[in-house]
Amino acid sequence: MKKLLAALLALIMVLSMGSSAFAADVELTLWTPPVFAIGYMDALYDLIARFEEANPGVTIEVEELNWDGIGEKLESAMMTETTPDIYIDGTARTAKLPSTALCVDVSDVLETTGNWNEGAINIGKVDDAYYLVPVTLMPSTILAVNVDLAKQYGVYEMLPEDRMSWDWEDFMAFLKACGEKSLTDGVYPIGLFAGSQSSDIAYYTMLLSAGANVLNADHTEAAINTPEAVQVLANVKEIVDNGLTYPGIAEMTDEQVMGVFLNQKVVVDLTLNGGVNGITMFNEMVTDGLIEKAPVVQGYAWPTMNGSATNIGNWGANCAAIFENEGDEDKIAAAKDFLAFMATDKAFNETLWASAPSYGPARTMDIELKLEDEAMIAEVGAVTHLAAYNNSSFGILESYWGEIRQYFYPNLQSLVLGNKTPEEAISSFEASVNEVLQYN
Amino acid sequence: MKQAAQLKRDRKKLPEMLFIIAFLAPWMADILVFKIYPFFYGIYISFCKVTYKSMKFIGLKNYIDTFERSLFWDSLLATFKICLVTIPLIVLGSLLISFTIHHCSKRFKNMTKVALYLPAVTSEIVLAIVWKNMFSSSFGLSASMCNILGIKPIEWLTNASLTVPLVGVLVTTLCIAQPVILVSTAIDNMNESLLEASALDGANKLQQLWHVTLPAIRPTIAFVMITTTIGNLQVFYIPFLLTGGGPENATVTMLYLVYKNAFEYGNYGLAGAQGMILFVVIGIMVCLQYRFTRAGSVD
Repeated sequence: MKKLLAALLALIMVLSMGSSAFAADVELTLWTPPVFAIGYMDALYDLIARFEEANPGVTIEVEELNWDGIGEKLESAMMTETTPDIYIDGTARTAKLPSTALCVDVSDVLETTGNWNEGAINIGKVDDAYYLVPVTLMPSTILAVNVDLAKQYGVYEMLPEDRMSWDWEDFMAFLKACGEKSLTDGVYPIGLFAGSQSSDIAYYTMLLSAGANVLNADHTEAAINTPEAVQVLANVKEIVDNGLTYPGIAEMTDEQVMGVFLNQKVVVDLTLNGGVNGITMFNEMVTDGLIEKAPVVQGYAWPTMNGSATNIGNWGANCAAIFENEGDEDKIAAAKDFLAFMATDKAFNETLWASAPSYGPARTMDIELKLEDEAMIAEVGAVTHLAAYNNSSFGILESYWGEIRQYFYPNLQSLVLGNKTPEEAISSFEASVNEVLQYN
Repeated sequence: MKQAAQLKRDRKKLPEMLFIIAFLAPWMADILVFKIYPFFYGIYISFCKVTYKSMKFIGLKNYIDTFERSLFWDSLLATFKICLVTIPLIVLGSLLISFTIHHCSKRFKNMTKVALYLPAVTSEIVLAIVWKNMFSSSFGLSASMCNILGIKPIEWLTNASLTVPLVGVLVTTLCIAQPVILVSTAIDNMNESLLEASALDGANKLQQLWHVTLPAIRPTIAFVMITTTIGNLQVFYIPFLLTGGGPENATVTMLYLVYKNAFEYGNYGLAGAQGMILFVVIGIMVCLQYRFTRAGSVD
């Protein structure tokens, strides 16, 4: 009887092992913030369900992170060895992961899946090994213009037809002409902000497009102190002094600026990364019953200083990383399988692309951008060419970028409050950047 | 014979000792794990270059780097500026409130204490959000009132010369309750015969206050001053939540800088060094205050 029982138990064990590719059941933890806002989390949960079905014995537990304190949570987890198995996020946090020696080399995942955007995979490259798997490309940092308002105030024709060929003179003329008519309605031509660090990439794009830079080519020294950079800040000050920006710029945060744009109190927004995201947000407001009809929104590149080619600051890609943790081979293998599954799953990538069209796919695959909204289709078509001007090489992917950017907005505050001239603000930022570089 | 008696007495004491140890053990464990160990670990990492996988001893480099960085000196200045507002306000305020309510009815006294304690028991996060909305110059309560009065909104959160005192005042509202309770209890417990004797000697109320009451409660005042200094040199939450260190880094306090270096930039060694420097600064300030408050005192 005992022998029969033992044989039965052994049979059950063999059968249960046979249902999984792994020695035992594997439970993975995955942390991610809602990096693409609308559609991402639903698409991710669907993807996980498909992956779990295809890989019995593997389960993935998702922890959806809140934007508040996300960097601190990741830092604490890395320091206390409590990191998840898989981490998906924007490069503001993932770009520094490869140099921490905490992540698994995922070169094999990239190799087996193939067809990757070279720039995107290079974000995770350290000493010929790759530590990040891109999930999507990041949107170009461009302006969102409320076309309905621009037409209402008779300035729509002043916008460049190709969405990028304009200089600061044209831009200032647009804002001033708009302000002459819109301010009486309490509508401001633009919403600038200097009260928060987030979305500061808009200002780096402003500087890059004007021909300035933050760091030198090999990132050993600040290269910000140029006449172009000073001129950009002088223009910002002029916008503020002329009352063309929404009031309270010194304490306005990017979220507040987005709020006033969505309330149609400003014509130009610099936080939404263009018209596609603007349309998405307005469509969501229509769905929620907050507004009856979404206004038309279009994306435009920041102006250049003298008509030169535009230069758009870009965070590169949203990426996934696998933490080594205790080095459990089954877990690492399952996590790699998941990332490969995510990279090649057509339904996931197609859904993601359609729900957030400004976040393009990071690898070439046989998928289509399926859009129903005509305004969205037109907008995606109109701004596609701007992606060619994306620039992630100005220092934004360096592990110490977080330290550098902490000095920009205080100087911007000083400028808009009149406590520093453009020259002083740039010199002060330059000194701070060099100080950071000295210790990194 | 004597030894046997001693042993017997010790054995009788053993259960009592075990009882005491059992009660003390959780607190001792708490102090050891969450206070003493982190403190010494903090000292250790302040001399190390800390990466996520290793720690390398680098001597005084983190300390040298700290002293060479301008933001450290700015944070030191910001901390002292805030303390310059909070410490006098808390110490003098608690004295003033305690003297004022001393002769009031017990009910009124308790009501005042409860009212003062309310901010202290309210979440700092909630308070910071409310205050942020109150003092915003573009959409806050203050801005609305200025608009009604037809004056330019006051830039509470964007003008450093206003923001620093504002942060000081808000920190004071959070911290003043405990000192008021301590000082008013000290006054209540004062030997009344001292006041009666001084009155017989012809002292007026002001003279009684200056020459009798204040010297009598001097140890309490010293305690309030020292604990307030220790607490306020470590001010963090309100600048972090209300101003984010702005405007122009004017409210990046020392502890805020430690937080930024550790949890935003992963510079744990540097954060450790700055934490130790803060510890020394607090130590020096407390010693100075202790000497100052002891000077001229009569045992």
